[in-house]
Amino acid sequence: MYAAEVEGERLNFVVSGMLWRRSLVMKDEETGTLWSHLLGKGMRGEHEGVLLEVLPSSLTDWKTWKAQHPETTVLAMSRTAREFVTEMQKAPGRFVLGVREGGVVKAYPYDVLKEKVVVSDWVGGKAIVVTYEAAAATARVFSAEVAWGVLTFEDAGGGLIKDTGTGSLWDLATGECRSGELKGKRLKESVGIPSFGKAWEVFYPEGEEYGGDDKKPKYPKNDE
Amino acid sequence: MRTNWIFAAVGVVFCSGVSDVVAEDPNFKPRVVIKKAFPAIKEFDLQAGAKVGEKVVRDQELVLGVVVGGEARAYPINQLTGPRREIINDRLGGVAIAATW
Repeated sequence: MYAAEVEGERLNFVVSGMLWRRSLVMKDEETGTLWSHLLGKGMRGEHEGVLLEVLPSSLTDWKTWKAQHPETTVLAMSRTAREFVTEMQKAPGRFVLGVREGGVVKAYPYDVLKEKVVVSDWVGGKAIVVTYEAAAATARVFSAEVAWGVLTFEDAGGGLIKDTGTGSLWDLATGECRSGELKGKRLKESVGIPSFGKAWEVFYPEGEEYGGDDKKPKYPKNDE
Repeated sequence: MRTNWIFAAVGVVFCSGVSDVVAEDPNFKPRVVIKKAFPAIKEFDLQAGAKVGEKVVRDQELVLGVVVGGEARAYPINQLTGPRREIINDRLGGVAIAATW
């Protein structure tokens, strides 16, 4: 999900018909610049080297999104798929949540997140917390930095996580503190990029992987 | 990350039609898989989430959700499969956005 404006000009993107590193190449109608879909970066043309601003977005099921955002509007074009349920739920091992902070790239495999529910970590000098909502097969990343320091979390069950400093309980989907000393505070959501693990690895071969051993991560080969 | 459709089009894979530009990233070597770009999607219907029926999206189906400037919008993935629908050029909360996954 990108902000589609560069130097005050609105860009409209099309599918170029090209691929690079097994991922879509976008083209903007205004300048013809070619953009990497996954990097959000101008690769060739007038805007070469420009990075599009990434907007935080979630890939989740409709029921969950609707409950969290009752006022939401919905795209209502014709279907291109008769049904699209959460692939991530069926085969979490194929997906990672990609995080880029302070020049460091780190991938959090869905199957590890599913098991742990919440992971407190540091990436590129930033304290983050990655959460996994099992019912919706949705992974999210929040900043764990608050005005007075850094919070670390543990799973408290029932969609809640507990910060070990104050024992307050937080909603792992919205980042809102539900009870305890910090009630009413909210964690700031950061950009996490749900991706096929294999595609992520191609783009960020030097990237770190959470929970990974020293050996290279293995992904099933059947997503082609 | 969406790559599945290209394999159906593997018969037309070849590299050409891209003019050379100096000073570009030497690692950027795109392959042309479909010779003509698809038209940009700029116009489409939207519905209020509270009124949406199963024809558009069912509870367990996947959506790409975004909030900008206090406005929330969901893009059901069931409408975004295939190369013609990869990118929705939209405006939300006063900001131009490209919804893509």
